[in-house]
Amino acid sequence: MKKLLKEFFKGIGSENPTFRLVLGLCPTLAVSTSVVNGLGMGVAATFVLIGSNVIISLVRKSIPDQIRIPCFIVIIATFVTIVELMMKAYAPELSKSLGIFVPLIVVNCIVLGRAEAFACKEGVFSSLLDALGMGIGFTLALLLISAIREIFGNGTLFGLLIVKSYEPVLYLVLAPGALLVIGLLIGGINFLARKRSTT
Amino acid sequence: MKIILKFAFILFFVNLIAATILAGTYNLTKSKIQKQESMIQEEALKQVMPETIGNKIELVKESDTIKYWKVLKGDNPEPQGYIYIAKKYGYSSVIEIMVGIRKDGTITGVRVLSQNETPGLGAKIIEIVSTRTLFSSLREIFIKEKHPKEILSPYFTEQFTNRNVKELELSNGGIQAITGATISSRAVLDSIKSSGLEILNNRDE
Repeated sequence: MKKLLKEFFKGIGSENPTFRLVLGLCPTLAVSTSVVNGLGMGVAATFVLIGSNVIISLVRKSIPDQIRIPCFIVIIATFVTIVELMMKAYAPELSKSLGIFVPLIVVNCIVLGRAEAFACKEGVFSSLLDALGMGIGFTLALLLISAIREIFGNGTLFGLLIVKSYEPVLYLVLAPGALLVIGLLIGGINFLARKRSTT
Repeated sequence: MKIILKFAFILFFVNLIAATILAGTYNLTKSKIQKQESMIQEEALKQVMPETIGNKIELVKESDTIKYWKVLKGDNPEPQGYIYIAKKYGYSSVIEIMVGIRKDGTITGVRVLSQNETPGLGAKIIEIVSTRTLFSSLREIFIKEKHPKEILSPYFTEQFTNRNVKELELSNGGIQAITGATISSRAVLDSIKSSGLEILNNRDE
């Protein structure tokens, strides 16, 4: 039980995909311009992670080692396409603003990384928890980054104005702002982690 | 040899299952996606061409660069106006705009259908200035305080309404460009103007 809980929480804390493993930065940089986009991307990636981790863990014994990567990619791509079609049908606005980054979840390193590092070795239930933890960790990281960028870079949160007389720092919504925010956050988290490990 | 066949069979099997699942999902969502797309287009049509001008539209021409309809009223075969979709590359994306004009060239409405310009700069072509803030929205939810409904139309494209396509210009008295996004503003104006003129000139021929 304790081990299972650990598998779940490591994705949120000690092995957070964005801040600790620094995986899947491309979508993180690109879609974290607004909280709605960040949340949409996080939920979509979490769905793909859970689906692919569970299926891969189920079939891990019947897939030979030599051809595991193409099989994983096909499984991941299937889930991504399902998400893409569903989003187009039920959330057309979101699918429009996320654009190319939904189909690009296929090559998100977090998904293939978890399949390779975890799901192809462990049981179904712990793979599910691992995917859930990683997905939530990724979503929280995206929310944090996009909230900072949207509040300071656009003066809004969830598309709603915060204070009327605020001149937004446009730089933060643009691409360099993403690098700056992520860099500072990773730096800060590393600093805190190091401080904790020494004491 | 045997092992290659085994691998090929496994890969074939995995792909077969994946393809079946995807075909199923595609069929399930196909009609819904089409409905969403036609709904967006219908709403845009209503917005760019108020019903007073006509009530029937007929597709005239559709090509890679232009797509336009004529607006008819009743049984009168003479078109009362046109609706067209203009496309032009802005700063970082193709901007697709739907425009409604009367037969004399007066614009009845402009709506950006799709764009992917820089957020905070070029994307302001679809920005709606709202007096609602996060706190007033929260207050609305919790205390049920009522606010008057706002007209939700982007201020940039709103400028085009009631102007003539032939006289569109980026200037002080004309269309005000968005600060820091001259290229996007110009792309919107140019595509509205050139496609509009093309349609009006075709009619005269």
